[in-house]
Order: sequence, then structure tokens, then C-alpha cells
Amino acid sequence: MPQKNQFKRALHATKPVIFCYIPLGIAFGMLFDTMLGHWYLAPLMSLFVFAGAAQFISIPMIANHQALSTILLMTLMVNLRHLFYGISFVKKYQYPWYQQMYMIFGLTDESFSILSAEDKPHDAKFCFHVTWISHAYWIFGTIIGALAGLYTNVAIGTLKFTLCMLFTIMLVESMRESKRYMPFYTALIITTIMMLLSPAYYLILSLLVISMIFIGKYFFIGKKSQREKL
Amino acid sequence: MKTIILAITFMGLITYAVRLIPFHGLKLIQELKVIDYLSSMLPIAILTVLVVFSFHLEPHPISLDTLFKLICLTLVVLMQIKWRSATLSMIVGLSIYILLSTVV
Repeated sequence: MPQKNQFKRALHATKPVIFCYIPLGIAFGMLFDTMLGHWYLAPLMSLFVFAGAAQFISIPMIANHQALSTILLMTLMVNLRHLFYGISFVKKYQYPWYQQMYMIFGLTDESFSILSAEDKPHDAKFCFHVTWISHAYWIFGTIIGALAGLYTNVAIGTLKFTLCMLFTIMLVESMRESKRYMPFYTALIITTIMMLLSPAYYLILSLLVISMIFIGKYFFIGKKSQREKL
Repeated sequence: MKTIILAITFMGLITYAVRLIPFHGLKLIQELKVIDYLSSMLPIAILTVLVVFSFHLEPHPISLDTLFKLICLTLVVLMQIKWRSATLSMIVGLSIYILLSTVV
């Protein structure tokens, strides 16, 4: 298929991303500018990080002067699922090295879902176009939001609460799709305990304890039940 | 500003590393079933921690504002369960929060 057609096909395939990336990009840009200042760093973050959830999460953490190690641990944990996106793509597509490097960078939830859902045989150029167009929407939304934050006077308390609502909606949707409620109850109990024990470090402590509980559960209970099944 | 630039740099590197690993350590990752398990459990747990964290940002946790937030969050959850529209839930939740904060 000619390159121009691949571009048109990619433009059409990424239409749903517009409704996701542009409003979220605007929200991210506004939050970043209002809570952290330096509006121009918001598009820079969207350009170099390109991980929506991690970017949103980092805003209150940076604003609350959390340690860099805590922010990075959170980034790692939030992005852990991306390990599996690469696995399903690694054998399918062969690109020139420079495109491959960018494709790996742009393997987000949205680009993964578009590329996985396509029925037609994949073309390296189509996949490349899908990735950079999605990235462009995200950066564009961020610029609009950052500029809007610069020129409008939105109360910071209201924006902070917007972030809380956004996380709540993401949580409701995650639980609905996975039908898993145990991680919610575990996290709620552990976070409450950690908040009472160590108000200054409860975020990092909660993350570490929750991870250890899940790892322990996998190795001790999960493997035991597998043996019982055999 | 230095913290933000450092955060952007290292967050970018970590995100890229996580996406790059499968292309160079495919076998190892496939064998580590625990990662599969963690990536199914951690997102919900992390989001729960984040809801608590972003809710608790205000310096005075027990106030009228906390009550307003709880009312709006309950409404957001109910609307999301009923209609599954993130935009609608956000707009209604935020409007009621602004209204309550302004009027009361």
C-alpha cells in the first residue's frame, strides 16, 4: 500500500485517540501549570515521557515534595503492564532500527489497543504513523492545557480535586473490567494503616508493603493452590 | 524547577526501559509469571493509594470541604457505574463541588 494511504489509514484509526488524548492532555497541561508552574515543562514531559497515568500521578507527588525515588518507583509500578505490550509485538514487526526505537517508546495503552485491534495485515509504516500521530495528539492537548492554565485563573483546590475524581473513575473502570476487588481492599487497609503509622512516608511505605503482600501471596498461596490442583 | 526536570528525565528513562525490556529479554520476562500476576493486581492497588493520596492533599482533613469531596466522589462513583461516561461523571462531580464550595 502506498505510503500516503498508510498515513490516511493511520489518521482514521487514531480518531478515537483524539477524544481520549486531547481532553486528558488539556487536563494534564492545566494541572501541571497550576500546581507546578513552568508551563513549558508540561509539553516537554509529554514529549519525553509519554505515559499518561504516570504523568498525572507525578504532579501531586512533585508538588508535595515527595522524594525522586518515590516518584520513580511509582512510575515503574504504574508502567509495569507495558512489559506485556512489547512481548506481543516483538515477533510481529520488523522495522528499521530508528523506527523500532521510537515504536518501543510510543507503545502506550492506546497505541497498543489500536495496533492489536487492526484486522488487516500490519504494515511497518502504518504502525509508525499510528504511534507518532497519537503522540502528537497528546502533546497538542498538553500545550493547549498548559496555555489555558497560564491564562485562566482556576482555583488550585478545585484542580487537585479533579485529579482525585480522575483517579476514582480510573479505579472504578479498572475494577469493573478486571472483576478484581481484593487489590482495592488490600490497598485501602494498608494505606490507612501506613497513614496512621507514618504520615510523612505513607505513600512509599504503602506501595512497598502492598507489593510485598502480592508477591508473598503469589509465591505462598498461589503456588500451593496450583500444587493442590495437580 | 530542577526537581521537575530530574523527574521528567528519569521518568522518561524508566518508562522507556520498561517498554524496551521485552525486546531484549523476552524469554526471561515470559518465565517470570510473578510479573504477570503483579501487573494484574498492582494497577487497582496503586489507583486506590492514589485516590487516598490525592484526597488527602488538603492540610485540614476534617472539614466541610472534606464532606463536600466525599459527597461528590460518591456521586462520581455512582454515575460511573451507571453510565460509564468519564466526561459526564467529571463534569457533574466538579460542578457540584464548585457549587457546594461557593454556596455553603
